[in-house]
Amino acid sequence: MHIPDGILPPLAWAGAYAVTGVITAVSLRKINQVDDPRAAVPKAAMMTAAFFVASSIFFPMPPPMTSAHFILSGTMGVMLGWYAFPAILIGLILQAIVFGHGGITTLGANALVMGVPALMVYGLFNRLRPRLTSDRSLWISGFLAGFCGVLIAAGIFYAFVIGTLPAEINQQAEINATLILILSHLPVGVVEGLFTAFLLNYLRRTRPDLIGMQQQPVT
Amino acid sequence: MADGHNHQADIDAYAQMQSPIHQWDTRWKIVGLLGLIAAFAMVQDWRFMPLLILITCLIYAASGMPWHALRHRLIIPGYVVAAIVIFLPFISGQTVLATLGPIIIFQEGIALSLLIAVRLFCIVTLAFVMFGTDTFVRTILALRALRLPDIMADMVLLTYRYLYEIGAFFAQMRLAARLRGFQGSVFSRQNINILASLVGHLFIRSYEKSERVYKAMVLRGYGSGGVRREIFHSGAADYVKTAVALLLAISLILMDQLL
Repeated sequence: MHIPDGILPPLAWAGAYAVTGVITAVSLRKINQVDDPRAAVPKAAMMTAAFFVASSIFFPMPPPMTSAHFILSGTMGVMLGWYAFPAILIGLILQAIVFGHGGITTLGANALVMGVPALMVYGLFNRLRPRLTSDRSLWISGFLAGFCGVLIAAGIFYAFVIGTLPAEINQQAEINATLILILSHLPVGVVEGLFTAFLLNYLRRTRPDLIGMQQQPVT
Repeated sequence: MADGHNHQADIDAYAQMQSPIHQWDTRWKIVGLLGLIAAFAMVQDWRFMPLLILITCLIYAASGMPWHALRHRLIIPGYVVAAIVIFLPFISGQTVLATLGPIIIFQEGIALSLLIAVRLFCIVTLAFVMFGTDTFVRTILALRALRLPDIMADMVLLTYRYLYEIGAFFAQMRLAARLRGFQGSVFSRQNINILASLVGHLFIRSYEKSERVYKAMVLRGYGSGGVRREIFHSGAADYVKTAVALLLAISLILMDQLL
């Protein structure tokens, strides 16, 4: 779900760069508020690499012969918190420079597509975290983190691509097309929701500190 | 990620060549070429397309990098853009160019498709020149010299350092799971659960490794604010190349606005 170079008009890509700059600055400011911000850099970098690898996994989808890959915006939000946005930006920089995916002028727009859902999920999960005491509650919130991450990312992506393309297209048609394309991501959202729910439950059983939770007492 | 090492080699494969672009100070090269890229992305008038292509091809030829490498670089973004521009002549515009039964082809749609395709070609090519004529590490150090925040630069370098290692480790885990009967190509709730456990294990291993890496980095002086060695040196030739690139960029933007 990357917007390549050349598609967006100047106002869209320049505006996206400006917003991305502001969100990155806010994230770095939050990160710098801890005593030794550099202490967390290797962890964030390593997790960025792990997310990069994990997001390259293609999984089969219900219609036979189709597949999709994980986006993991929601999971990054849950696990990395304020590091999620810089981590996503770094992942996109690496993809653009090393692999030639995504784009240079669209780096800001792509960061918004992936990073905004991560921060939104982080905000929501952070509020819910004290109440996630049962397997069921973590399951539901994990599913929603993955599901919402995909749908919000799809919404921002299509808003950029369709909303900024040719001015001659009917506005209602643009809105309808955007909604249809977002809805077409429902199956991907469900699969990523299931995946995220399983993943968070696995981490709670093995390393709960990675998702900001306490170790469960052994009974 | 299985072929990760090839990618790692790819981006640095042409970094050691000799050409006027390779000799351009990395910091100034980024400034000059980013200026040109921004200008290309701003051009709206399709009449400037031949000029954009000419400038791009001249710069690429000056870099001395082989053309087949560029072709390889253009494949993936080319597919993505092709999926979009192929529809534009039929849905975008008001001036009817041709009618084929129920299908109408609009002039504005064709112009927009051409504009997008040419901009993509030029921007991807210039970005390839910008990043391909220096090693990845040197490019990030140059970005740091251009005020990329230290935390971001450190994260990029460390992520790059461990990306292939983590990718290889995950490939091993998947192979081991397959050998034990895991069929990743079949859709089922159980398979998603297994995949989540594999990824969860990958995250835990990566996290634990990062703790060891951090201790090793601290032992080597990380975060102690030691003296940073200046590795970039610029001269008159660098300033001239940058000035020419920026002058071209500004001229293009002005011509696009005024003509």
